[in-house]
Amino acid sequence: MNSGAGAAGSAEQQEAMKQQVASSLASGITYECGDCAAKVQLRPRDPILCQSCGYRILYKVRTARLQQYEAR
Amino acid sequence: MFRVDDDAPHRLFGRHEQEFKGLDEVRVDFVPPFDEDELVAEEEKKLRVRFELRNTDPAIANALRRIMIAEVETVAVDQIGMMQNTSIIPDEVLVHRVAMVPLAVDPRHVRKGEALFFELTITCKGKPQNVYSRDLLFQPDESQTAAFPDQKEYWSKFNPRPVHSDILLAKLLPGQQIHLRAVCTVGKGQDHAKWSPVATATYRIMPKVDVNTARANGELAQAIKQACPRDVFDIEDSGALVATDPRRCTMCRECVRLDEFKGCVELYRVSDHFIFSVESVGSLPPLEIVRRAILVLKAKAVAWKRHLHSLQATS
Repeated sequence: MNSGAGAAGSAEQQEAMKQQVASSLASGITYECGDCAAKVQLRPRDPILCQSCGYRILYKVRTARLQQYEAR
Repeated sequence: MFRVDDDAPHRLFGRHEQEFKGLDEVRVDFVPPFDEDELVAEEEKKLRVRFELRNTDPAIANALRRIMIAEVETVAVDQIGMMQNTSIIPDEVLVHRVAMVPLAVDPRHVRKGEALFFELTITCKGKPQNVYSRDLLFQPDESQTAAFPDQKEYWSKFNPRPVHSDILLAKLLPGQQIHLRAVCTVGKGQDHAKWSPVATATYRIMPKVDVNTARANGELAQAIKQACPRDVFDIEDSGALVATDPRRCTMCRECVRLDEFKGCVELYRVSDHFIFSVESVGSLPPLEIVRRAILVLKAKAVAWKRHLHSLQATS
């Protein structure tokens, strides 16, 4: 069913991805609060806590990358 | 014509003694709609056709039926690029639902190798919201305009859209969104049922109801008329039973079941007379489906003939 997203790709793409990861580590990774659905930026070693409501369950945000499916 | 024995209702097809009849002799008649069709809404009647095929072999009738189901081309969603889906319905399920939506596009308008694109972009704000097939919007593809510069203008003439606007695809809560791009291609029912242009394409064999008027008259005639749930019979002024409308008969055998009815009515089937019923899904008019199926059948016959000739030539 799911033919999946594009795999690793060229060396250039991999390099670009590394940079992306580095920058997102600096600014923090975005999560979504399980209670109030606010966006929460978390950096390594931050407490897992929603800054607006104090809820302790956070969800990962879906990739913005395109997923391709065979519609059958 | 085959006799249907009283005690063997399943023996509808006896031994075939007729010669095979070619397509040249086939006659196609259009029958007036049956009574039951009056219950069907006008809108649905446009999607249905009934016709009779005569003087031909069951092989031809069945080939026609199968071609209508599996080999007449239509356009359907084949690939989906999912950009965003934060709804509760999983990608795979949503994709499958979208693919089943029948599209009002004539495959003959699609140039060879061309794909059509539909986009669905919805973000739910405020109240919970439903996503319907009408939210699938046709997008003339930018990358294809190079190959077909007249693309936009060309498709605006035909207005590609889902056949039904109110097919529920998903439900969204505030903040959830769906953004997808559907790639539609020409295909056949053979590959997947979503490409089948018909909801049903069936035929049945013409019933023949013979009445022995010497026996079936008076009260017995009345009783038989009453016994028939399909109203096939009527009573003549002389009191004799007549089968006025054998086409309505479903071979339920009520008219021969009781012992006292013995020898009054004989049920047969006319083995070279087929009553077709075709219901379109809505992408093509039903008669057009029949026409195209005949063309496919013809093309197959021609290809086969050519093949046989080539064998003859080489041997």
